[in-house]
Amino acid sequence: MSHTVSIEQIVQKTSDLPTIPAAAIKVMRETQSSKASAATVARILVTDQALSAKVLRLANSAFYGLSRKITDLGEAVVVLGMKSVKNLALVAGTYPWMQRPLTGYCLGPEEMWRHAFGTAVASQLVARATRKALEDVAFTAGLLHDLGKVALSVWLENKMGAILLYAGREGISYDEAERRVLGYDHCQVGYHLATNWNLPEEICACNLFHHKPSNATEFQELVDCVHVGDYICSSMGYGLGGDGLLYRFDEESLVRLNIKPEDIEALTDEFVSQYEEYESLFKELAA
Amino acid sequence: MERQFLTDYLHWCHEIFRVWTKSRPSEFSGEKRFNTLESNERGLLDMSNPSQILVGAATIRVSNGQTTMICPGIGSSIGLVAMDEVAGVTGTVHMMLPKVLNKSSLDKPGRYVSTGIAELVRQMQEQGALASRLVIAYVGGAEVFTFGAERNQQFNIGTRNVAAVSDQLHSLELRTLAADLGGNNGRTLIVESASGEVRVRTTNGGERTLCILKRTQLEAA
Ligand SMILES: [Fe+2]
Ligand SMILES: [Fe+2]
Repeated sequence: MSHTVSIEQIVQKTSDLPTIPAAAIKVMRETQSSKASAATVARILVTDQALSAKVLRLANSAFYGLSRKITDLGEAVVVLGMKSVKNLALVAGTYPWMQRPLTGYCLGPEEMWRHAFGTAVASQLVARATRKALEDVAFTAGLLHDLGKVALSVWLENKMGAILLYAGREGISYDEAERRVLGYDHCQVGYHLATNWNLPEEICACNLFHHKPSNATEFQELVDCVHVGDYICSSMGYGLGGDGLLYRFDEESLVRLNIKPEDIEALTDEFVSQYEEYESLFKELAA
Repeated sequence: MERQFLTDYLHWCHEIFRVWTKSRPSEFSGEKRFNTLESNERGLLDMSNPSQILVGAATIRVSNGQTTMICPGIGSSIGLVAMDEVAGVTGTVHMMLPKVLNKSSLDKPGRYVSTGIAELVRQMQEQGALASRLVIAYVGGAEVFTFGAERNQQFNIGTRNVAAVSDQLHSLELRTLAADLGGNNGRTLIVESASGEVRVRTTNGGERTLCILKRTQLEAA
């Protein structure tokens, strides 16, 4: 059975495991450093032609409504802002594998993508509303929060039904069922993957704690933003897999973020509007 | 020790699952779908088939032809279908939230229960339907896993959506035939306008007939 496969094996032996383009990771690191400037970010972008082209296309898209054409990468970074460029780089770098179906989680084509992107948009919104985390970091953390699903899906093929039955019978959440049946859950696998890829620590933490925010020892408010963002996105049905809404919502996150339960509805409403606006833009560029 | 138990248990579940799905071909329409466990709501869609209509998030679709309406991605939201058998008009709406909170969203009636059902009825009336003849079925209102006493109804969008729908149906005096609500699963609503059959598919791969909205079909069956 699959639990004899260790997390290390999953991360090391899955040959078609996705990767994030090196330039995208470098841009992410650079934007987080205090010495970052449009010029330093542009210098990294130049090393990746496909990425550079997308950044220029975004800067020139109707979304930003500029009257003149931008051809210089440095200028594009100034226009878009370093943080948008970083988010674009990550969206562009993850879309090719996130849009693939994940049969191990009953996710059809595009469904994982919708869930990741939706959670990114929702987490960013929560961060903006509460000012408890940096908006762009919340976007990134939301986008990458379920990395473990991508890696686990390959090994889970055909086993989800059994895990679901077990969860239903025991009355436990899906991640708990994963832990009991496999020995680990998609959060732990995602954490492993993220550390293996040398992603920033806060991204690793969000992978590990997004279903148990109260256990987070570091970056807790960011984890809370992703936890609430994940809830908002999932409840709106964007990219629901077989695990559906079979997760525990931790109300402590709302307390820590100072969100009143009745505010969730307004946040969700805003999320639906934003998602519609962003999705077509990013998809067009990332494709 | 516990590991061994779990291995056996998992194996046992798997067996039961296999047998169960095999013995119920009508519910799962063949083992191919279930073995690969594709929820794949979008996979249901065949864009080259003009008789299929996708009812996306927050939208209203009405038709007087023979169509299959497919409304995927229903989580805490609500997929609702109405049919006037005599006029031959079918309409589906996918509503996300209980009520309009922001004036700027007034141009999106399909997004809210408070405006979506009335707008659906209005659009159906334009095609000759009568409100008094409409028969309704709706699904959705799923929620995250909560533990007994912790339940806080205020943030529970699924529960609030369901309550809003029954209020609306009551005040508009519409007749409901069937509903499939709550739980933790995502759903897809599938409506065959020709037969009046309403099916609900859950994201873990199961599919069942919820009801038949056409009386003549019911009597024939
Ligand atoms: Fe997750
Ligand atoms: Fe998630």
